[in-house]
Amino acid sequence: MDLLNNFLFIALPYVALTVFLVGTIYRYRGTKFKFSSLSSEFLERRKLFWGSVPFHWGIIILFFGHLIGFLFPKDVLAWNSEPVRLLILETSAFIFGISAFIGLFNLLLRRRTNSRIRAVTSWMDLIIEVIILVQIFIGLWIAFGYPWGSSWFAAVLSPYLTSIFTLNPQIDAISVLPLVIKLHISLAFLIVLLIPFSRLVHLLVPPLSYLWRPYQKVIWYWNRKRIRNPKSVWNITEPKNN
Amino acid sequence: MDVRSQISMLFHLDKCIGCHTCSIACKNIWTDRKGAEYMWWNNVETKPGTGYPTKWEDQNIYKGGWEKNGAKKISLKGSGKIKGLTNIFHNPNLPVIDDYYEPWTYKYLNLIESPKQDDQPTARPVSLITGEPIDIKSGPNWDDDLSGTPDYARKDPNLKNLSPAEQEAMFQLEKMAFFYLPRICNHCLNPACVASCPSGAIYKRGEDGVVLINQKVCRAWRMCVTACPYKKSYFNWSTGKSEKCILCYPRIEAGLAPACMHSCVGRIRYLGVLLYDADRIKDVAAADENSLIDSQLNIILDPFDEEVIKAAKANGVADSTIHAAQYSPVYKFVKTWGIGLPLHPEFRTLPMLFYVPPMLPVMASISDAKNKEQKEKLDPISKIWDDDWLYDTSTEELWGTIEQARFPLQYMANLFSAGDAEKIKQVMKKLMAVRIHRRSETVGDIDSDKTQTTLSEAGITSEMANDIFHLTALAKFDERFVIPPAHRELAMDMLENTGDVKGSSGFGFKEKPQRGI
Amino acid sequence: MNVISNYVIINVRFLLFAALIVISISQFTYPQTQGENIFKKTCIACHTIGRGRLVGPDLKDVDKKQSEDWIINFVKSSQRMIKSGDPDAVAIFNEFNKIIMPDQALTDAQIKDIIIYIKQQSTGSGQKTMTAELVHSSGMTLEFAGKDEILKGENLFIGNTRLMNRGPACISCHNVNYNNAPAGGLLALDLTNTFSKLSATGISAIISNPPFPVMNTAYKSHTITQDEAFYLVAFLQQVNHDSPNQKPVNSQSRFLLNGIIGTVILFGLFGGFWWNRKRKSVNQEIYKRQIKSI
Repeated sequence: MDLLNNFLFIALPYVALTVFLVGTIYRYRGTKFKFSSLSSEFLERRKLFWGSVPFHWGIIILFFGHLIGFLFPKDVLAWNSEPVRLLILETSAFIFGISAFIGLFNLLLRRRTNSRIRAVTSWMDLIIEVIILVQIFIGLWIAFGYPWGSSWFAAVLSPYLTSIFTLNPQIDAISVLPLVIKLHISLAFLIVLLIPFSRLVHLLVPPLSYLWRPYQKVIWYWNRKRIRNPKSVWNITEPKNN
Repeated sequence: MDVRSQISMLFHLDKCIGCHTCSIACKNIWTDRKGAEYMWWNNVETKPGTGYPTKWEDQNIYKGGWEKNGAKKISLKGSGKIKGLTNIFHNPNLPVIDDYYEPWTYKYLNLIESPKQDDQPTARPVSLITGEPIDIKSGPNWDDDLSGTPDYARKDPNLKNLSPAEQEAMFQLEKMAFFYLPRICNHCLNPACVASCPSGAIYKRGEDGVVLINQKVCRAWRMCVTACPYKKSYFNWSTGKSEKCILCYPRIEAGLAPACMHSCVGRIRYLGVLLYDADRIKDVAAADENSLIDSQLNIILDPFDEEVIKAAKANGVADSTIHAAQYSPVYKFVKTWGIGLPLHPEFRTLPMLFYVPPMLPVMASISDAKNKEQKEKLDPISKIWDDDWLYDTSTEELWGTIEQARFPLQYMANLFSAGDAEKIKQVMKKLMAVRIHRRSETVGDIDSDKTQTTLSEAGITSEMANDIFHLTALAKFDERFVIPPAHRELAMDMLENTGDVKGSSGFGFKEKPQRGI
Repeated sequence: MNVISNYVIINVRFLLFAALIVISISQFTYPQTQGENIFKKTCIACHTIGRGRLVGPDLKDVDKKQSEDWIINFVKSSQRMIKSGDPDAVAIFNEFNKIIMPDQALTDAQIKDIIIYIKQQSTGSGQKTMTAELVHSSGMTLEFAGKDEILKGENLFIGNTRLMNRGPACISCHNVNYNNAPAGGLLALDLTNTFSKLSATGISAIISNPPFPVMNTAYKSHTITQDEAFYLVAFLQQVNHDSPNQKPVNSQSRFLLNGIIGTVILFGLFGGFWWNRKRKSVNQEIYKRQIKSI
């Protein structure tokens, strides 16, 4: 049991984080062309709506919920000090969880039943979708079976995650947690591990810079004014877009 | 004044014979690949018709282009920062493969490998996406030459402000007329695709204005497909990247005409440099509907103007480019003679591909005729032919024919001048005047007084008419394509050692364009 | 120079580096800890050495009563031993109100360290016995705790009043069945009848130094003060006292129902917000008409 706990909560996280870091950097530098969300809306759009929309909004809100619980546990606990607020937080997280689950279930169903989508499906797509589906299901199970997760996550798991990132892993607490919670944590690291090997890389390149860039984009291959000025020094500059 | 140069195109529609050679040349070079089978960076549409993808001009469906909201403000119709990012998980206006067609091939092997049997072996069509047998429902140019008129031509979005009678007249079998509209990417000055791209993969090249998609930055957010009102940005379903016409920039850089233009049988295509004032793009894009064309043509600068040349040089435009701008055939058609118009300027992207509207279907008119005598001569079967009209191609009273053209001017106006029929009429008058002038020169059956009147009414001189005639009908290759040198000696990325990449991947693309995992 | 092989070399380097990191990190995983530290961290809540019984037995001279192997096994999993019918283990379990001693994630070496520590402490003498009674800082004992104290305890329990050192409220993991108290967490034990099992001393010992790893982590740097412990015990005493009159509340099914209703509303919002989406291809109409005309 000790060995398994050490493996799941110390070895796996570090392996996962290392592989994630090295893998994504390598993939970004080496095969940037393959960084894509690989949208299949072009081939099928009707069923996609009830899959992609509930899944993505649900999973994004859940992801940031977990992240906030990890980074600002004190504030989460302060928010939860009022039972009504705790209930609102837990219920809305549960709703988005169900939404993400139904969405991903629809996506998986669409991926299996639509022949056009099947043509652009890789094994990894299926693996990753099944793992995330199981992960969301376990998450819902935990939310239902072990309330109030938002509080005990902040109190128990946040220190664990912090200890992982400060290279001093403390696993006493989580090694005695119920099995489903352990599974949830391990699957989370497994997903992190799989990011560089799957289409999940697209979540690393959200197009947020769009919000503050000007609409139009013109790229010059060389500094046009400088190059015509005989007094300026000739220097070699690579165009920035490639 | 921020003077920049733009490689722009002009298509002379009177000369297009609808042979699709341009499309094939383009397809052979660029889009004969998995995921790109359905892409026609260059396509030729029959007008009236719904085009490709079906009804692409109907922005109520596709939400492409810009819309004016406020005196000096425009915004993207179906994308943009807020809309684009909230719609990123499911783009509500994205055209799907069925709006184009499902690409297919035939199982030709069946024809030669089929065992001996009673029936002829057939080559079944199979989908190029799924590999399964399909029933072909449509293909590229399914409405070519007005085929399937009730389904396609009658649903042309450009029929919108034509009276029902006018529409009806267009589709009576005896009066039917059509022309071809070849389309490539317009390489706009205010491109909606660039503005809509969330990852910033699409950009306009500063040196020549070609709009390109960086394949390594494209993340398949699909907004450009929606935003381009001309639907000239295509989504590659296999690689998960958008692709579009690149104006054959590798050829242009080498001094060659783009493949579609080079191969054009009717020699309808012209390519040249225009100098324009980039500072005024914003104002022009937000101009009122009725002054859109004029203001767009206004930012194209006179390459002979000393001020312009000075400003261009200060701005880094190469001397060779300025020289090319002075000999640009596009400049002549669009500015000097004023017979080139942009396609759908109301989308406000400031397209840099201009069209000379076709005369052909307009020339002849339908006149009332009580041709009883004629009918008597017909054999009994034809006597049910009961119309009282005459297909009149006589050259008498030419101005009259333009107004009573069997092809409503309003239709042309919807295509080329944001609905302003007067603008089309001016262009038509010039084109007609050239013909009358040339007829009086070569055939001599029109007296010179009448020729002079028509010329002056159209607002051109006889020299101008001769020039137009020359560049339209007699121009040689070098006159049609005035391509400025690309100055690759200044583009440092071209200095990479050819030996380094030899045998592995070649220039530019160091990575196989393969679908991600 | 082939570009691809370049990347391969970089990749190999990266992997070696990654392996190095993993190895060096694994060094951290077996911290050497003194028996004393472990004892004070994990055992002290329930056990004393020569100061009388608490929740569990006094451990003085435990090394003389049982073999080292027996102790190691019991510490690792007392329940397994009880189930296997070890007479000593069963006797201890019954003697101490059948309170389960939580399994400790300790290594053999660590347990041996603890035993050594206990040995050292057992020989020492002249130490005062620990005050077993829970007292408020004002000197109030539990017998005198009234409504106010119980209410304070309830507020602390459900979180209305935050714990002084900002620890999570008890309700995060524990449930009590008490009047209007909102449904509590189910991660840890239901505390409704704990008072009768553990008595004030046991509860306060656990609160001040939780032996359960999860609780320990949660309150490690957010200890509960003595006064707070007093109020909480007072509250739990009341809860235990009132428990026969309480009706069980099924809060979980209400939670599930709320979740399902919320999801339906959310899906309605999605559908409404994107109501004007393009639902079918433009060609679909044409195909339909053509098929009909055949």
